[in-house]
Amino acid sequence: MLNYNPMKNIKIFGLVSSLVLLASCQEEFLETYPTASLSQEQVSAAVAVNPDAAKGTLLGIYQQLYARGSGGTTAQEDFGVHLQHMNLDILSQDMAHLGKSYNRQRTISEMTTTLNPDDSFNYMPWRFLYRIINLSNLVIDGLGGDQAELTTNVQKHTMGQALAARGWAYFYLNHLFVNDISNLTGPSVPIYTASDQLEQPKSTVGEVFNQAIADLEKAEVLLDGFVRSDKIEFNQDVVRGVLAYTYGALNNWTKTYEYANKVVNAGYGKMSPAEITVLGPDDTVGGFNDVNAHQAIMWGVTVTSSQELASLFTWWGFIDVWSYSYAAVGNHKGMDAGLYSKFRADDIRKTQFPFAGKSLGYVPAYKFYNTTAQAKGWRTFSGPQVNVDSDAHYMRSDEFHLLKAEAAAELGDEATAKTTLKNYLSDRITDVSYIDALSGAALQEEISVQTRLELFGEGKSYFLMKRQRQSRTRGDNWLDYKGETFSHNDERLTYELPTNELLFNPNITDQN
Amino acid sequence: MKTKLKGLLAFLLVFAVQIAFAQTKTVSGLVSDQDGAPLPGATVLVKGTNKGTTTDFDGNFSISAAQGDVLVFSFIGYVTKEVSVGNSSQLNVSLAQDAQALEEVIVTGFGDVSKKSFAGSAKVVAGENVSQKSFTNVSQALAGEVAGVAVFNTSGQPGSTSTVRIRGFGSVSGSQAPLYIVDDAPFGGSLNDINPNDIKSITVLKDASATSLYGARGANGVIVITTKRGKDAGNSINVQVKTGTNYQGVARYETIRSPEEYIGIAWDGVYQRGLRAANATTASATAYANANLFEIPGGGPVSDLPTIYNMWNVPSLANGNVDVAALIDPATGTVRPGVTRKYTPESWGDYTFQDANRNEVIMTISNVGENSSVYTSFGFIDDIGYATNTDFSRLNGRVAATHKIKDFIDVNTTLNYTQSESNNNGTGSSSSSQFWWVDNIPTVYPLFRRDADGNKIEDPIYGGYLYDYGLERGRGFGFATNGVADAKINVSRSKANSVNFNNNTTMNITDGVTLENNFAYQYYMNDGISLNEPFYSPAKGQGGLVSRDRAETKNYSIRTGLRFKKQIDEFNISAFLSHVATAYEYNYLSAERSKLVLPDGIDIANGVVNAPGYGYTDNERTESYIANVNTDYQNKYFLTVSYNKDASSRFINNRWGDFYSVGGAWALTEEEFLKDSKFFDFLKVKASYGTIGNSGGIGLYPGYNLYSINNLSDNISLAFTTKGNKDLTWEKSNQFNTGVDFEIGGFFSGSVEAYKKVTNDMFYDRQVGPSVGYASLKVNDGELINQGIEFDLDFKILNKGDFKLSAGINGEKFSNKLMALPIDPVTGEQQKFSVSGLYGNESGRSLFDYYTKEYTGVNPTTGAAEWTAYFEDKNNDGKFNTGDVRINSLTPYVNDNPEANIQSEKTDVYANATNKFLNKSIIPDVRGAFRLNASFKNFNLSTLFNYQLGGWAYDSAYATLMGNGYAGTNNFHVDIRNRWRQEGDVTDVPRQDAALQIQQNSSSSRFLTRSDFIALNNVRLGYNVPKSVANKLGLDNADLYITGDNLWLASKRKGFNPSTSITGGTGIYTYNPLSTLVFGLNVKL
Repeated sequence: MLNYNPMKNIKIFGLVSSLVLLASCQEEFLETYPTASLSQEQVSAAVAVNPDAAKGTLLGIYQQLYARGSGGTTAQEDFGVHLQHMNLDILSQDMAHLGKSYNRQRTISEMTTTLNPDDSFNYMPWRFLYRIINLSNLVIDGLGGDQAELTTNVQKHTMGQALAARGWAYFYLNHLFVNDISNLTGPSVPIYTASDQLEQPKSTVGEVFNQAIADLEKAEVLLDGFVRSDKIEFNQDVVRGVLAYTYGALNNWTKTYEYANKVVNAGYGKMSPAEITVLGPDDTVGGFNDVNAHQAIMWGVTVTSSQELASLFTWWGFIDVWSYSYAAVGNHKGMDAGLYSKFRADDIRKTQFPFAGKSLGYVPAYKFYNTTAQAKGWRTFSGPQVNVDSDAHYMRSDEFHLLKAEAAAELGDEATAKTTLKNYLSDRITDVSYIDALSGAALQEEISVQTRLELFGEGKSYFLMKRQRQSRTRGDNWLDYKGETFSHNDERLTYELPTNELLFNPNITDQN
Repeated sequence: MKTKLKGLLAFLLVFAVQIAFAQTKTVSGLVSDQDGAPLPGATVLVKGTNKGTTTDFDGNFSISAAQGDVLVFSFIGYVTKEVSVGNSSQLNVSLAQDAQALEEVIVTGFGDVSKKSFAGSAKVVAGENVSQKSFTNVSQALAGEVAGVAVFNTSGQPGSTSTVRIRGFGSVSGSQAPLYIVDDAPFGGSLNDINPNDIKSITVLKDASATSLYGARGANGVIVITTKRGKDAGNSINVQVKTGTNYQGVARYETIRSPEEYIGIAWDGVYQRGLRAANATTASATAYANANLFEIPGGGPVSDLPTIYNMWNVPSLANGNVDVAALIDPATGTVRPGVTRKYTPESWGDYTFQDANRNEVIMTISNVGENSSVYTSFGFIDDIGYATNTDFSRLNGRVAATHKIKDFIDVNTTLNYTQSESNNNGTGSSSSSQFWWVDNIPTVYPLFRRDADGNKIEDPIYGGYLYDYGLERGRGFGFATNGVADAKINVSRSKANSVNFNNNTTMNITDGVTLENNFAYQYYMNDGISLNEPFYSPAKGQGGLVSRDRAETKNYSIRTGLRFKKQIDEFNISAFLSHVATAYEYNYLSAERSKLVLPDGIDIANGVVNAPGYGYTDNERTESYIANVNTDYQNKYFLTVSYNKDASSRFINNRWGDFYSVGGAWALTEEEFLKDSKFFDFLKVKASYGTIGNSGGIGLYPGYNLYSINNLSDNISLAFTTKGNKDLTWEKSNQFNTGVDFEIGGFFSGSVEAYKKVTNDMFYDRQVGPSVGYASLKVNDGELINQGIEFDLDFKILNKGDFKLSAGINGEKFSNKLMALPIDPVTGEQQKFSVSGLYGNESGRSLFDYYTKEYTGVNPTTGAAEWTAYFEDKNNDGKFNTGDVRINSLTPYVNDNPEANIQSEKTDVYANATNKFLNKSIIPDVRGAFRLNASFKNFNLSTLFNYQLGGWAYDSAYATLMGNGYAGTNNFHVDIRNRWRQEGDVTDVPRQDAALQIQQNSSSSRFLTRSDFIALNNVRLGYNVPKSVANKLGLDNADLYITGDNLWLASKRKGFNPSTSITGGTGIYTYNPLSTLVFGLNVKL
């Protein structure tokens, strides 16, 4: 018979129980770390040992300028600042939407976005610009806050760039979400100066401009002596450019002139006709697809195929009729016919629009073309579908020649205004003597027109429209609202505060 | 630890040997059923010991037992019998079939209990119910089988896995997906790894007392799959051959098929637009329509229909335009009689949809020995979809072995290998979708390019004819693409290999105490292959593009536990304590090159220009301690209590969570007062309550602030992207379940259950004002209540001689209510409202309450679509005018301005209309399935219908087909025939006006559709070859059958299939599930 020994069984039970319990793992077993992105702790660890990663979080701000999804959506249009430049050109009525295939940007040109806070085109710039502000604040906080005493040049230059980015973003926000920027006491957007602040109430237009100026002027000082390694970085001149625009928005023409003039004299020159258009079959200089090829380009990003930008998700896909994307397949955008008609007959810039009078209309096919379009004999879809390597520029010195002329005219110094404008246009228009005869409003209008013609598609006209409190009329090549006139403070030209800000910022309940 | 184990084993071996000293003799005999047919694989046990055997192929057994021992004979589906060993060593036993389906075994928490004693909520689905359907994996086959389990067959892509939801929608931001358990271990592989034919049974666990046994991750229900062993099949060779066809049996939307009708509608649109110009007359509008129906170069286009697509023999005008006056009769707005075609554009569906084959062969070999059994199966399936280049093929082999070693160690091992390949061209959600093209391209556009004379052009590269990519002059639909052509000439393929291993060891330590160990490992490698060929595809600018990606998944789980069982008189107790650790690792790697040498070479070496590669690894770990006690007294009162402590690597500061459950049942028919009831054969009431957890749906690293790694001009750039929450912890839900199981009068049985599930500490992506720099933050907050009732009823209607008829119906009715939104840290109060797509969320409403604009119909004077616009009427004159405030979104406006005087009016400007709650939700009144089964002699017929009543779905595909674009931009649903044409027309379909009325078909209540449906899910007609005939053929058994799946569906409109998504909503890219007819032959040797 079975020899039962209870003690033995109890022992076994005890042994096995403890075995079960011992089998429990160490707490490290439950620790896992991401690899596709990095945790804040991993970033700190990398920065501590890897000099190549030291600038990583600062460069992370710049990367958002063109990153897909920086506006917080998965939309193909969500590619940062250049989407805004294009939308703003449409809203300022300079860029006509010539075809709606695939419905891209349709609600911008039909101006329903700007009445409907649910439309994600409102959310994208809001999220994008506040992302820039938050990333800047993270860098600023990392240096001890914007009041910190900085000792080394590296610290000063890092702080200077972060402040510049923050100021730049507030400059944009104050235009994109405010109907009338001339009303300095009117409501604008909230201000954040630290990365961990909870939702803030609206500040006034004046307060936001003041914040931008404070950040930019501080940056200007801190960036003294900073030599950048890449054109994407803010240096003193780019900061001065943004300052000139900000003072322009405030109609402080003395300061505008001062800063514009500083940039003009900073040694960037201006872009030559050969750089801004295609002058002949052997011309390989031009185009805006290589920011380092043109000295006058002050600020922009060098795009390499390693950045993995697909044509469908870039500015190129949306503006360049040669790329494999929407602009080539019936969703093309070109210059407003009324604006185009302002080109003088002897203006070389008309060659930027080789399809004028043909089915494509005033598309800037010889202004914005990807790096391979020319080599491939101007063939449709000559650009790559993925891994685009055409650059994007955000600022060029030309802007400040024109802004200097504008400020001089505003200040009543018409002589300087005329000289500046004539000098600027002399290689673009054969006979610039007509300018001598202009004065007063006519001169100001001419400077404005030349700014719009020169900077078409570069997102500058919207700011001009607002600082000059202009009205603009849609030409007859638009699909909607042709012939209608829009004032700078028209509700339909300014984004709505996005729904999520209204719903989830308890301090904000209404539109501007 | 290894040495410790060895010592223990040695000790146990010695211990076991001692047992063998009892005096015994060999008892042998035959186990048969009530009709005398032998029962192979029946279990014979010496009561009170672990000594046992199973009957062989002929039902014979032999076992050594002492005189006076009691032998226990059991077989699934039969009443267990106990017989004492007497003098004789010969013992023949006949087992009676168990009439009560209630004797089903429920596999729960690493052990089996009979359904009779089960206190929780579960439903067992027999393996046959699943393998009889023509599906490649279990998820699709579950549809209609269990009350409270909703299965959404989201795609017709062969081999696709369905979305399964158990008891409503348990979480706002967390996962709502159930946990799968295969052979007692959490399963993280692909469901396609398991051949449905190898499945013995599926148990769906729904309530807390059942699901908590698997640790905390069962909050959304648990699906327990048990695979077959040798003892389930006996000694046999079984061959199944199935052959059949896949086709599109459920209707597509009814669209305009005639090019003449299409061009007439397009003309009317342009005409109506012309009519709305200043000072327009019918004559000026006709002239406008004639001039603008086709797109001419340089014209101000309201048309995207280039003149080269004029397919009719009508002349051209001097300006290159088509002479539309010769084509269209303005009086009727239709093509003039007598106009002939230059060519007939292909019907695109004819070239991309086809009836296709489905073939399957399964062979299983099973062998049962005294102490071991082996089950081996091989399966091959080739399943081709009705859309071009969509298919799935799979080869799988499985070996399952059971061993009994030294009388006290049981080892149960399975090894499964699966290789599969799937092509899914043209099934994405983009302009490459074949389905988008077939329904939405205007019928004037041909599939093949035409020359000026209307002739097709030969393709110099691939042969055949050149596909039309619409490039020449910009086709208004899908300019520069051709989804059907791309589906044919490109490659979109995935090849998977997987190995699943599962080993379960149990050791009987002493009377009633067992040590268990289970190790399960799943390896899954997928090779994704994508090729865009160099001449026509989207990558032609780069000379073609090939990309490959490898995704490797490794999962393992180790469970160690102790089980204890004891009977004291009429009191039974069983308990277990176990520890489970799981690890998941996912590794991804991709490479890509362009400029291809061979147009169809799918290896990276075939390209010469390198594109960036990518790769990363994800990890997840979990750990659980689980304790459970089950008791019953007199087979009448049942109580189960469990506790578990779980940890997940997803959480940082609060990794561990505590969970518990308790359940009880009372078998009333065991009581004296009901024991002899003629009415109740069986009656049990039960209730359970418990708290269980969820860690899914929040990503693997929700605790960390995450930074993206980017290349900025070849420098490292790191950008903060996602706000983490280190305090995030388990989402908990408190679940109460009660129900009754019954069988009445031998013909009516079933169960009715009610549940309430309160989820708090809920995963909630709390939205923030995006100005803070991020969009949302994951928190444990808010509260959600799901409650409902479920019924599952079976009727044995007739049982007369050779004819049997039975029916069953199941269903669920549930509600889903958000009770609290998360706290806003700025105010310290709950957020009041949020919007998620078409749904608005506020306390007291379901997560799926429609919040959009309200369509009020068509203005009979203008033909424009109209919606309701609300405004704050500041001057209180009932009209919107200066000073009044337009309201974009009603609920937050009222929240912010409770005193506002709000009025409404109709508007034909969509942008002015107001978003509001429509008091409609996706939640149906009732949904479920019913079946009707009949058998006559050797024939049997079974049917399964799914149904849903109540609830609303947004028919987005239909909305697209009711659009109002420029001429040539999209095809129409036939309902467009009912559109408003002239003043006084009373209709629900607004005018066509070539996009003049902006956003005419944008989201609104206009496209909310009742999601009622009834569908014939499965029908099967079988014939069992009489045993005598089969035996003459040298077979043990043979049966033939025809089965049809997804044969028919009736819904609000043809093509609208609300069963393909959780919300019932449709999409323009949907691959509607296949219909399948299969003939099968099943032979047992």
